[in-house]
Amino acid sequence: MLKKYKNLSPNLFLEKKYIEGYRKILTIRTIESLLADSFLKMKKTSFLHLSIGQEASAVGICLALNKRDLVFGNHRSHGHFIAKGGNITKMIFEIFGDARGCCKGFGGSMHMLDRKVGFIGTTPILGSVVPIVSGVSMSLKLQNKKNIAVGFIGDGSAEEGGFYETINIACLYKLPLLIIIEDNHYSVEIPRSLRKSKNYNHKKIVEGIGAFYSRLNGQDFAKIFKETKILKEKILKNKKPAVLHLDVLRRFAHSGSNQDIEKDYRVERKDIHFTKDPLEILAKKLRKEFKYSRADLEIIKKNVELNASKIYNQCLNKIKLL
Amino acid sequence: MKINFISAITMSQMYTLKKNKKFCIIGIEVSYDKLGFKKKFPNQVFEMPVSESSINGFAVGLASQGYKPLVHHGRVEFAMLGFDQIFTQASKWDYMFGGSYPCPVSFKISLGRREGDGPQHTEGYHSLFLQSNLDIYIPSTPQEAYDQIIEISQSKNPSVLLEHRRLFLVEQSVNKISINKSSFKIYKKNNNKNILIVTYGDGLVDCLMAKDFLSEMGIELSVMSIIKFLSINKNNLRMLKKISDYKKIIFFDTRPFNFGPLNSILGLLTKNLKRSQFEIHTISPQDTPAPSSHLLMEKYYPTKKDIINLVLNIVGKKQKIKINLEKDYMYGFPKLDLDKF
Repeated sequence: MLKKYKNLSPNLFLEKKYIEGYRKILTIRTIESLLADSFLKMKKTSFLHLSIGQEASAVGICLALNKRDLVFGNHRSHGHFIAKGGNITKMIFEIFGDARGCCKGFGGSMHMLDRKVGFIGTTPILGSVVPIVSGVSMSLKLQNKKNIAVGFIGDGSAEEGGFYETINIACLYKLPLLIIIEDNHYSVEIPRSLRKSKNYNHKKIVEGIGAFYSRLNGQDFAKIFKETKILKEKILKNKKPAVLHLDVLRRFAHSGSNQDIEKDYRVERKDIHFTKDPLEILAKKLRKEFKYSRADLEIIKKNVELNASKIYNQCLNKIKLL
Repeated sequence: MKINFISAITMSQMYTLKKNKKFCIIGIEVSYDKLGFKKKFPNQVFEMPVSESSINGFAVGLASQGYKPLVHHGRVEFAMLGFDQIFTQASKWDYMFGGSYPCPVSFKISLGRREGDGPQHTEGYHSLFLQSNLDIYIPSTPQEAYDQIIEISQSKNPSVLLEHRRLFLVEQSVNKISINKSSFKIYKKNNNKNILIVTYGDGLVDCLMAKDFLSEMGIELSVMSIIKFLSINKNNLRMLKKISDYKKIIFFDTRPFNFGPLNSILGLLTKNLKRSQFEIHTISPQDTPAPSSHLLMEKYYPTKKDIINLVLNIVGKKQKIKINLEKDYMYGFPKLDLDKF
């Protein structure tokens, strides 16, 4: 546990974490919204995979981990990066191909890295993520560390053979591994009904191989935070990997600055993104459980947006743009 | 100590397991007692399920965290099930993350011909590997095999060691402290600068046998064996300069020549040295997959006989020579003592 949380009562600890989560979600949303605007204005067509609308998953997981737990992401990992404490300035530089970026401009939007905070990389070839993270978790095991390795994938990449193969390897070698499936119900724009058999059952498959499996509403920060804490303990205590399956809602298109609801492939109601907004769900919890007023939360929101915009604009002013 | 190729590779891995506790061996059938790895180093040897893609990814992840894994693949065709991890992850890792984040994973991949193994167990795919930005090692002798395992275990770069299984029983006295940094080796007796045969992998066996035969007839030639292609290689130019010392060059490949490694060398030669006055000859199989049947193999694979006849032709001797193609040489594992070369 971090020093700043050491002497807090459980309730105060939770409150601090929830507020931190609220700030992180807002930071991700502000930075990514600014990115979307810039890409639109600049008519940039390169990949930009935004996580707006599904930030609770990244933040809930990463706030339940510590710095020495290692996280590996995918093509849509700005949120994972910020949630784990990655350097935002370096992230913005990287997305615009500047040499001051976290990968010196060689990686771009789909390659985030900040090893100082345990964010050990991302790859847009999602089928590769799970096997790579299993090797990372073996390195933790070989060093007898009390930490876990976490890999973020989507529901599409959980259809890859490497996913099942690796759960088997992780069970065989008792690896401290947590796989997060961020299930937005679409692989790019193809719904699961066209990709999965009617009786497809993640729970039976994962538990059948021998790992822990749990499925939650991926828009609810509090639930994700608590479940991740529990799973980390279970993984280390029982020497058994786990899969945490989160149902999330992507608000933007698979890639780029367009809002997803502007497209016609979704079968859900048009307003679903807003009724299940993770920010609103968390705000409601803060109001109900910790007696924050709407005005309190509005002040926090304004502050976070101001700070994030300041960082973003300072970076953009220093970049030689295309 | 005189040992064969397969013993050299095993000894070198055993030595490295002992010397470097971060060195691990990962793969399918790596825990066999006859290899001895698992018994002596249980915490550094990981037997794996039949899941090539995940095995390779596991090794990439381990390497990214400071370990030095060597993945065994018994056939290149099976390794291909995990090529994403080799080509898209391992080879790009340090580059895509801006440098200073090495991923020193290595893959030992067995390949090449044997009677009965057919089109799907005998491929090479060398050119694919050569375009991967990985360091590619192709040992042709027990000494090179021994040295290269140690070299890759000390390197920060990801690498692939392509192991031609036809060389397994070739013998040589191996010096355990000799590390050869050169990317090629030239076999020659005197200062002959007339004919050079350029080859790699198991082609060395055919070339040295032909060289020996022709030497007894009073015809001397040199053989160059290319043993590694490094991603950033100053040796390339030295190799090209050496080749350009010769007037007549024969490229001998046991896989189809077109678009293969030797075809690339020829391209580099004409591009970098701006010399088009070489007399160039090529000997290689036709552009088809390799057959299974021993009768078709005789037609498909070029042999020492083809080299001898071509050289006789080049030097203007039009005699017909009877050459015995031994069963081991043609279909299995040739037994050749490299100490005499």
